[in-house]
Amino acid sequence: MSAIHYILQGFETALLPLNLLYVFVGTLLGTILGILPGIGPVAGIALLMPVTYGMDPTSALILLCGMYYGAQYGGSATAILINTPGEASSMITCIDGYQMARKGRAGAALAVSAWGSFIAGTLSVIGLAALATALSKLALSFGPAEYFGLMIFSLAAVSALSGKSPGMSIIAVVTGMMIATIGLDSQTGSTRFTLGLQDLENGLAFPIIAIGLFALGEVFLTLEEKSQGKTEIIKLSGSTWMTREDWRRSAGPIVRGGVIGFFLGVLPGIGGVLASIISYATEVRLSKRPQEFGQGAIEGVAGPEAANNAAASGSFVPMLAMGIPGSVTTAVLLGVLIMFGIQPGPRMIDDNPGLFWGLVNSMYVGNVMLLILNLPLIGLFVRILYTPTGILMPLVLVFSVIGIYATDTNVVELEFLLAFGVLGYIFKKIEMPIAPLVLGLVLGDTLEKSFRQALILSGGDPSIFVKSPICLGLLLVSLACFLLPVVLPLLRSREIAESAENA
Amino acid sequence: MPLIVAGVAALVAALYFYGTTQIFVSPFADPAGPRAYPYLLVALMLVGVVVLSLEHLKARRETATAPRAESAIRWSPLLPVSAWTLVYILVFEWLGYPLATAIYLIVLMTVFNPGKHRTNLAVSLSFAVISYVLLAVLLGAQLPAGHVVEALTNHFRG
Repeated sequence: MSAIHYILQGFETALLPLNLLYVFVGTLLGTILGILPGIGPVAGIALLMPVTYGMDPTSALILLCGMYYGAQYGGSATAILINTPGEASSMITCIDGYQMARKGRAGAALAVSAWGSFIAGTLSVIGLAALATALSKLALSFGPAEYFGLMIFSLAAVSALSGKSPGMSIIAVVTGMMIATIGLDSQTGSTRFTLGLQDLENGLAFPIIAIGLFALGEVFLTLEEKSQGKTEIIKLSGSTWMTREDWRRSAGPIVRGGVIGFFLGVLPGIGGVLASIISYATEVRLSKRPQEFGQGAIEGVAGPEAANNAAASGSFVPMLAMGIPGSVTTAVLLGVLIMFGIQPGPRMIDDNPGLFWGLVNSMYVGNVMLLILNLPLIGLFVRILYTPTGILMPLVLVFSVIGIYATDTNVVELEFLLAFGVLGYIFKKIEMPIAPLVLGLVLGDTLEKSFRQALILSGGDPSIFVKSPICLGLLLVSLACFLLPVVLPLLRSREIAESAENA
Repeated sequence: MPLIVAGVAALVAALYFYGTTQIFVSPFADPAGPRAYPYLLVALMLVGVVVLSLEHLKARRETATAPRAESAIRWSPLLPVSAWTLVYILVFEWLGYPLATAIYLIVLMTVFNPGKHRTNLAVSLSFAVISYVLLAVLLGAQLPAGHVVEALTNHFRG
């Protein structure tokens, strides 16, 4: 079948009334959750995960992805109105978005954020469809050893870039991989690390860990921060329509931000943060009025917002084409795919064309839905900001408990949920990145399978991992990801010390 | 803090290593068997411990000239909230979802939304009842009614 046929088939899936409803519910809930203090897109997706049990996998992913874009927009709204980014990638939006709001142009800032996200999101979905199919064809030629190398590279890239300390990242990623080994060994049936508990024989369910680490961890942190002062909330002011001048100044940054964001989003670990920073820096350099940046320049909102949204779509490329998540959100979504029994990887597009094209085309629909929903209703949504955290956070705790209990009616799982919540809080406090842990957890099982399949192929000879040039190259790059940030400063300080001694 | 993390990670590696030695290996297993990959993870964890310790040494040299502020773990809100959540979980089936949730929420909201007792009470009770009716009664989600409610129901049924 031709690509056009698949695209049309995808639209057929995305435009099914039920899937349209899921896109609507996803974007609506996502926007609300993105605006709520302390709950980001990942926590939102984690909380909604139990709701998707029993749903068709395509519809479930459409719902969760809708929530992802919605939460991103919600996060931008808080960046503009209360100078608090909903997630790290909206950090740059705070600089000029908040200044625009203080000057009475909050409406225009929110509008350019919505239009920027819409245009860049739509452009990058086209890129996603083209690049993912091409990449999956390339990845089909990979054997288990190359696949092992690719997964190690993905883990190394995301881990090395997601935290300040490579050591902490290695420990986090290995912890995730260790958790993934709990339960019955899929190849021999031996039980591993179950501590004699029957509840652990099937391993720990992914939602328990995701909801614990992200939702509960975040709640504990927000309750702690609650006592440390209040944030000034700026009233929504100004029209949410952009003027001709606004459009003239924003069009270029939106397109440039979209392109930068998409290509950086494809690379594992880079994600929206760097994309929005680079987009902002590009706009400052290209602007005829660089002195306006930081004072409420609309280009400073348009570019980074477009880049941020395009990076989100870009991060779906490695996930859908090769089963390698490039960000923590796609790692959680990959966990959902695995939960539904779908094996992500290069064969996924061929084996499940309905899911792939339905999901890609639902992103177009989601972007349109976000625009229709957000521009007229943003005034209503921001009222959520006034909900006291002292009421909201206990409710999130109860929602988390309901989600896990209603699935298996097992109190032991709730105890694990609480334990992971405490772990999530501690990780955040000691600045240990959670993304590598989740990635290690999601990829752990597939990584072990590839590792063992490669050894079966080589008759137990481990040199198979260095005999394949692709695998060797990927392993060396992975090693460099971790070692360079540690070794280079050490060498530099030694050089400085030697030159000081010589002087 | 990095040294504590490194120490805990080393301990986890040691326990995991012990756990790996306890895995039953079938004579018909694949060449790697169920132990090879976990051993690899132990080695990787130790690499993490070494890298973190090296970073700590480097940071200690730097902080001698410029001290760095660290955000400390504040056990005061975490311990009571997690302990109260554990109590909620433990009595969840016995008391039942509506009753346990209402009590759990009232206490948390009284602490974190102080001075608004009526609002807290109204939100807690209405949330517990409405969510139970919506999820368990209308949507068929499996939430416990509780032994207390069951006993009362049986008592009145006679």
